[in-house]
Order: sequence, then structure tokens, then C-alpha cells
Amino acid sequence: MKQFLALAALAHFVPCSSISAQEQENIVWLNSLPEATEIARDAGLPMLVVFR
Amino acid sequence: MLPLYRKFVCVRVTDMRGVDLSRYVFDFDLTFAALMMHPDGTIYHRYGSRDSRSAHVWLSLPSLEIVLQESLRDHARYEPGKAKKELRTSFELPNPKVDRPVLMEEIPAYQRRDEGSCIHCHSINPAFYEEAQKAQQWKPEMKWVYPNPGQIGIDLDRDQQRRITRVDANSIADRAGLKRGDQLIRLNGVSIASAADLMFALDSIPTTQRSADMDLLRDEQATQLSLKLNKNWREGTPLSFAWRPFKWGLTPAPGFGGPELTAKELADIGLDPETEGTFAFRVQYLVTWNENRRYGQAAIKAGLRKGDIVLSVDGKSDFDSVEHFHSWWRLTRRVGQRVEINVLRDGKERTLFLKVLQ
Repeated sequence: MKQFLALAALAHFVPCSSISAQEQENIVWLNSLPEATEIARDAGLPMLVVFR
Repeated sequence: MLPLYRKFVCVRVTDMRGVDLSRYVFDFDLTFAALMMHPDGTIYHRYGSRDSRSAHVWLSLPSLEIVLQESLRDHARYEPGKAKKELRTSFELPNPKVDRPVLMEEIPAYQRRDEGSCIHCHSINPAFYEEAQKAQQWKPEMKWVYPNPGQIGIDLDRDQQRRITRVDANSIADRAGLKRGDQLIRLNGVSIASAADLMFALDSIPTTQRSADMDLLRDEQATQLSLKLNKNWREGTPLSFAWRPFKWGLTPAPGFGGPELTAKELADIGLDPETEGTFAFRVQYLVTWNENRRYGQAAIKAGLRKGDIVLSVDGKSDFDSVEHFHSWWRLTRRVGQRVEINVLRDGKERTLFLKVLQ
């Protein structure tokens, strides 16, 4: 369950004791698929798309 | 884990409006799903899946880390233009528009009830179902979307989801020669790094296909096997289907429902809550709105009232949950059938008969 909460924190912005607020803030989550696609294309990076 | 996340462009989607359903293909019944992909639309891996046991049976940080690392490896060796065409799910819109995004808000079955608010993932399967029915292209086997590993007789390790932890005797997997400890690499052309990948691979097998090739590692040696599939291999049970929001869109519907009785309420009516299979629910609503109102009206005509306690339906009382009851009704009751419902009203048992409508 602790692991699940940590995962949820990373993917869902749910606060949890396993991951500090500062660590969570270090992950930039975009809210726009077209914007993310453009950035990934320009940067040559893969995308991590979370649906919830 | 955090350095891994920084190697991706992360995006979170909470509204399916504007999302191309032919590009972002996943199990739409899930409340959490992740795709690791190239910006050209090629999906390397999937993560986030479940079965009837729990919503997080296959969610863990070690397994997510493996999938992220595999995706980075795939991305590093990806050659644009050389990717194999993405296998589509077997559950598609009839007459798909060629070279145009498939948008939920443009699907007629959804347009009718579109109120302009967020579109949830779980609204998609019922809309596809309605369109397929309307086009007379619906086949009963199509409802068994994203078969779970148990359908071929295996279970997977939660943290290393390529690894098989169980092979059921005389199952499809057993007959193909799969063994505990084998690591799945590829099935039906789909690269496997997670339970979600496996479920996508199983879903991508056309309903008419009777075998699927599998690559695996056994004692670090590459091995190939072939799964032999019978006509009904996808078919689960009402209980295995009960978690899926998709069930609410299937017909025929009972037209009534309500909350499960608590242990105290069961004891109050003389049922032993400690006995396995003891179940009853109180009728809290009869559907008198939307396109399903005919079912609610049929229930009213049969004599069902709000407040009735449903004790059994066609002799069955061992439901696991109200969701199980709804799944069971939709998957097993047939149009024209007369269903016997035993209810408790004012302390007296009554038997009602409800005709299942189209």
C-alpha cells in the first residue's frame, strides 16, 4: 500500500509521506497532450502520458 | 525513480475531450493508465491495469521503474518510419474514419448525452458498444475487453511483471507449455514489460484468430511457444467483469438497484452475515430516467418498490457485491426471460416476476 501511495503521488499529485513535497514539485506534469507532444518531439524525449 | 521521470515529457490527462482514441489506445475502464510513447504515436509500453482482485493488484514502484527503463531503451533504439504498425484493439468503432482522429465528442452515441463537461475514460466503451449495436456489428464476445492473464491461466509477479508466478493446470498456458518462472517477452507481436502490455497483447488478438505466438525467456534461454485459443477463450465471468464501469452501459439492465445491506441489517432480517455467500440489497432506485427507463418501468410493473430488500434473483443470492449483481444480470439474463425476484417487504417475503425487455 505504501508503494501504491508513492506511485499515486508521482502520477496523481497526491501528497504522501514516501515522497516529499519538494520531490513532487521536481516533476513537471503538463496538462496538454499537443504541447507535450511538441516538446517531446523538439527535445527528442519519450512521453509518459498518464490518464486518470 | 525521480531521475527516471525527468527523462520523459510527463503529461497528465484528466479529460478525454480532444484526445484521439485511435492513437491513445488503452483499457478505458481503468481509473489510472499510463502510456510510454514516442511523440509520433508509437507506444513502447503500457502501465496500470487490474483484475477483479483489486484496483492495485499490479501497481508497484519496482514494476513501474522496470517499464520506464524498458521504454527508455526502446526509445534509444527507435528508428522513425521503421516501427511496426500499432496493433489496434479488437474493440473499434464501426466504419472508422480514415486518417482522421477519433474523438469521443464526435461519436453520436456520446453526443446525445454530452453536456460539455469533462469526458471520462469509462464513458468510451459504452459509446463504442452503442455504435456497434446500431451498426449491427456487435458480437457478444466483443464485451470481453482486455482479457486478464487469468484468461490464459497464468498470474504475474507484481514487481517483475514479465515473470510468471502461476500456471493453472490444463489452461491455455499449460497446454502451450508455459512454466512458472518463465519471462514473457512478446505476444502476438506486442513487446511485454507489464501486465498492461500483456492485456493489450491479448486484446489485440482478433476474435477469429485461433493461435498466438509468444517469445519468452526460460533459464535465460530464448524460447518460442504458441498459444492455442478456442472460440470462447476471452470469456470471463460476471464476477471478473464486475469491476468494469463498462457493465453499466450493457443491456438488458435490471432497471433497479441500491446499497448492499450491512452486517447488522442482514442480522436484523434473520440472515447470518458470517455465512459465506450471504447477500441482500435494498432497492433505493428504480430507473425512471434516460434511455434505460423502460427497464425501471418494467420493474415497477412487476411490483418492485423502493425499500424492498432483494433476497435472491432467479434463485441466486450469493453475490459478492451490488456490482456483481449488475454484471451478472447484464451478462446472463436474456431478453424475453421471466426473472423471479424474491424480496422482503414489511417483514414478509414476496415473489415477483419481471420480464426482461430488449
